[in-house]
Amino acid sequence: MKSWVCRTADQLQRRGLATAADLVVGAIEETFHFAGATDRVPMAREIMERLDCGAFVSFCPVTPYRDILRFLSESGTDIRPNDSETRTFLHDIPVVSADPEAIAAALRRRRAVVLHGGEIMAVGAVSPEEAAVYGTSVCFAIYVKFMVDTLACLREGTMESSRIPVLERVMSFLTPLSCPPVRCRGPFASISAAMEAMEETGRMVVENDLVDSCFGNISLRHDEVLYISQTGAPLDNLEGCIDPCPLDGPAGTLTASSEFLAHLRIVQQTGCDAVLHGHPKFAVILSLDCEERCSSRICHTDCPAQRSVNGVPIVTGEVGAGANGLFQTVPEALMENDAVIVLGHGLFVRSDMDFASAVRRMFELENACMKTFIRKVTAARKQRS
Amino acid sequence: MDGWTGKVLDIDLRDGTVTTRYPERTLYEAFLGGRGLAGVFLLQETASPYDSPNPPICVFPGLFAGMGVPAAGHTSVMSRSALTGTVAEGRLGGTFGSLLKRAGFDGLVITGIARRKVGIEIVDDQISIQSCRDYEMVGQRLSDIGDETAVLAIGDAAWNGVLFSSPITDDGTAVIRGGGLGPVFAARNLAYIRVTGTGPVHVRDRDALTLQCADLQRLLDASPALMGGRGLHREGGMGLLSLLADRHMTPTHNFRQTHFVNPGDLLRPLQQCRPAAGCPGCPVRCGMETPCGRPLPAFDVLSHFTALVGNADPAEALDAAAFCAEVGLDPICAASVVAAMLEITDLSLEGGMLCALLRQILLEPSDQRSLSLGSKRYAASQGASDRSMSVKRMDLPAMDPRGAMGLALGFAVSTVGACWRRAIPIGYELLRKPVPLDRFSFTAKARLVQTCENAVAVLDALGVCHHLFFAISPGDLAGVLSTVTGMAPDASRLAVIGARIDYTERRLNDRFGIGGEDDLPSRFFDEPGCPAPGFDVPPIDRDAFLRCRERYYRLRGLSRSGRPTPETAERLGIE
Repeated sequence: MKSWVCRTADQLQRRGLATAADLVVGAIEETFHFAGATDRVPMAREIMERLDCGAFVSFCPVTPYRDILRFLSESGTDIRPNDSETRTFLHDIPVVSADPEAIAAALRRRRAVVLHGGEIMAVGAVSPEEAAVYGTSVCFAIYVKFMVDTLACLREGTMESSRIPVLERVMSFLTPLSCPPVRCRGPFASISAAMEAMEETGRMVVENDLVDSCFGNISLRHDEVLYISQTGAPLDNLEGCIDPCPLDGPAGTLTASSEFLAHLRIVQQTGCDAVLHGHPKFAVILSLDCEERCSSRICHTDCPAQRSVNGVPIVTGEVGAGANGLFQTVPEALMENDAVIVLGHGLFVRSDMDFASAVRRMFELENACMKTFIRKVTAARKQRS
Repeated sequence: MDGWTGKVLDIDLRDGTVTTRYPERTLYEAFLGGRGLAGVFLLQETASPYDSPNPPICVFPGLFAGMGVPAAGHTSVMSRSALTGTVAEGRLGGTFGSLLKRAGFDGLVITGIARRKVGIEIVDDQISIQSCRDYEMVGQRLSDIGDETAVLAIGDAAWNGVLFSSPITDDGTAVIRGGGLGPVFAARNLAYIRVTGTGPVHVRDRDALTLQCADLQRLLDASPALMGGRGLHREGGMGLLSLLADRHMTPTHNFRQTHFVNPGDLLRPLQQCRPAAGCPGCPVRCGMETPCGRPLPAFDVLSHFTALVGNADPAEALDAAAFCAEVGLDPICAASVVAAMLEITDLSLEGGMLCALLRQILLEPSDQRSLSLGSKRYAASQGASDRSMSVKRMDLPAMDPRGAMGLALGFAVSTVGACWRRAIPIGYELLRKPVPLDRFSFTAKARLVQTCENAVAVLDALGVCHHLFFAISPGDLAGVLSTVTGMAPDASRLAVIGARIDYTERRLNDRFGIGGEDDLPSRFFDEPGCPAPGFDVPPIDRDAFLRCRERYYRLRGLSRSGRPTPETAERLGIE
């Protein structure tokens, strides 16, 4: 159990979300086990005892997340995320004071909460990794929400003065991504070479913050078998987490990614070999930047407009394979395009033979979306002033 | 009362009296419905043998029955099992629970022994006890039903005294894990319960409920196990069957091995199966049927009627499952006693032998019972008690415990004997949801089993299908519960309710004299499973298992020997 909490703490630091001094990870089996800052342990323990939960994570995220969190938590109202995954799995994010009972009460309702002043706390039933996934989801959710709301405020002339320094701080961290060379090139002579390509690509997209570790998915066709990451698999550590799914057999496995059907249809309908799905922030942000005032319940499933960002179409679609699943919209859109943005969710890219062009395209698009965002903000601020 | 009708029927079969109880709201909020309420009403009676006038048969729909909540119309049927002597809880889907709520009742508590075969007829608020002298009358009544009527009945197996017989429903399926309940009905001369319900089911805020159900549906849609390419929605249980085979967890030849043949090869004749009608209002619709319209049995029934008994003919497996459904035999127990017999007698199945054995079980004369007593009693009668793969005399389901340590612990400590639906740790251990856990490790498994048991108990009380446990947790249902009843629950409060429901059953078992039986057959500690390319399936580490069980007892607030304590019962608000 001790190694478990230490591993989770290391992961949070490696992801650049928190420093050792600003985080604590806890789990209990017979006894409590903690990793991280010792001065945070008493509060962590108290909350775990109040909740009788198996695992707990608390961290003050690094800048610029910290600045965003402080801003969003100032109002005291619950944070309502607009990105698809957070909406589905976390619903909303309560904002509470640092009182242990208030924190516990909120964590009885929701899996993750934010404290005034910008600390994130999350719980897991059993596993510290579960708590960490919820905690890191909050970082993505608040970043996207802040940026989308900022664009809306600028457009409508309702920008709060307190938002400006936060925006400037966030933008000061924006630098174009540099696409590393893809070493594993096809055609692949063996299954192990194909899997190595998937593992390399997964590491690349996570290390460059194009997706959180346990989100996104990747697949590669090799010898009429579609190899796909397992559901919840860490994309930066895919060894042992790839399922082989024969293309002429039953449709996948029970442990294959929840987007398996989308991957399958993409490969079948486009003839491509490689499919990569990530959550690059600015692609998601711009997909949510819309002047219409539709009900948010319609946007993700029934958006009436034909929209695009930097020439990439935006389609609707919910997570998974239900009636509104993105497997119904993404494959068709990828027949005419090599990339598609799912509204509020993420980006799908496809390529032939290996992941080289898919990776390049993802980096290129995210950089383009980042530039578009900066241009929109700059232009709007200039117009207002 | 929003959500509840506020009325529970007491039916005494001895003199035909019917009275109505009006439980306090505090009781409803403490136990919710379904398995929760069934348990507390059972606990209020004495600890008599199953064939005495008490304990009662408690039939309680889940709280959400009749409200349009996705996959939430299940009903619990609870009493003392004739097979195991423990609490027995069977589950049925379909419309029974919804119609009972629409008739105006939260549940039935049935006591007494009728002088002759009778059926209970409920038509909204009109209740009668009808005599049915011969069985053909029951057959007529079972077939003469409309959309607003449902029937729960027993078949020939129960009347013939098969200890693992089970009630059956009007759609021709046996009550899930109902083995041991059939004789309880028969001992009371209760042939059937027929309910017609036409009234509304009141909820607090219908509009808010609709929004909550939409959020719930999104979670179900995101689940590969439910809606994915090989999920229940598209393939019934075939995907799960394949996964278990890949993990070398298929109980084979009475658990002597853990891998039979590739399910794809075995079931190739059935691969053209198509989705069939599921429970009304369920978006998952896990039912499948063959091209000629025969219902495909659940994955565990198929597995046991093939791999467990060494039968490579899927058609014979379908015939066996259909026979069990027709006469009211629990198919898991039926397959298990056959498997035990084959091992003890060193026989192998030949064509047609499986169904012949099932007919033999059905027709065993009362003075020559052996197989019809269940695998544990049969094996003991042959001096080979350790060849019964059962816990507390309930046979293990179609998942080998050597493949997942949480599953192993869950089987051992379950209140009803071995049952994969009691804790469902395979979400973490096999399906990677919400996060993957090492299936071969005991780390955190005591807490995992306790947490999962509490969660499943809440789902059972709400009437939510077990399959949804692959996608949601009780916290995801808190919003639904609030819009229905006005309660303001949160995940912690629901966990306490789940713990209370589970502990009530442990109190029942304690009262029934059940104790010290939280263990697995020695085979699982002594013999490995079948190795696979890339991994072995070792025997379970006995010491690690015992340490984990000890931790579980502490977490559960049980004594060192696993018995409930007055202190914990009081803390949980149980008498």
